[in-house]
Amino acid sequence: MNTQNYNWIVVLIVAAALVVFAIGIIKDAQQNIKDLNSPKNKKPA
Amino acid sequence: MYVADRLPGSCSQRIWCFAISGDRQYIYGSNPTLMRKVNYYEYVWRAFKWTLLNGLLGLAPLIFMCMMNMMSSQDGFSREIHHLIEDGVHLFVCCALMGAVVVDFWLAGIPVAGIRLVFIYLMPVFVLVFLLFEYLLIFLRVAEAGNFYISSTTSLVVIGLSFVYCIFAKASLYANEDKKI
Repeated sequence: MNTQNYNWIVVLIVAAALVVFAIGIIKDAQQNIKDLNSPKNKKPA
Repeated sequence: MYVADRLPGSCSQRIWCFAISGDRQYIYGSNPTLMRKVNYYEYVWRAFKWTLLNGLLGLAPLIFMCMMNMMSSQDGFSREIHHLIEDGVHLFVCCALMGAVVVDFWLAGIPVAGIRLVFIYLMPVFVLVFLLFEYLLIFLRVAEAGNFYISSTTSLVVIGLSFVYCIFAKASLYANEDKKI
């Protein structure tokens, strides 16, 4: 059986993982921006 | 009341002065982020510099050998350089950088949940497993040893993912450190 036919499964798994990580990066950045700009973290100069 | 304190970890270079007057607290320091609206990209830029400089320091012996090879008339280090790269020394540096960030995050005790947890803690595990599978295949004699050229798929995936991880996770760590104050 030709193993080349199953390469797409690996590609699919890696692509899915990359999408999840990308969403994680974006959500983390959004949360940090939100927290840093909250009134609690704004200090007068 | 006036307190001057030196913060641990990555904040050690900055001296912060706390002046507390009545029920209001003013924070003065060399960090511009607390003086105005916080820009997250400053943390990303700082994390990018951290990753790049640590990567260069980690690869310093290899870079030194390459420089010596370029400057000398003989190819004294050619074999050693090829040997190191084929064995994946650049991938060891990537793993060390990711490890530094994830251990810092863990020791800082910053609470993360959900998809952020997947990004912070599972992304380095994914990259590590991806790399270890390659070594497992070499051990099982399915793959050939010494195939970790810079242009190989494993190298490109590991370098790319670890670079992205280090920049964004370190930026997140910086942001969380500043939030704690």
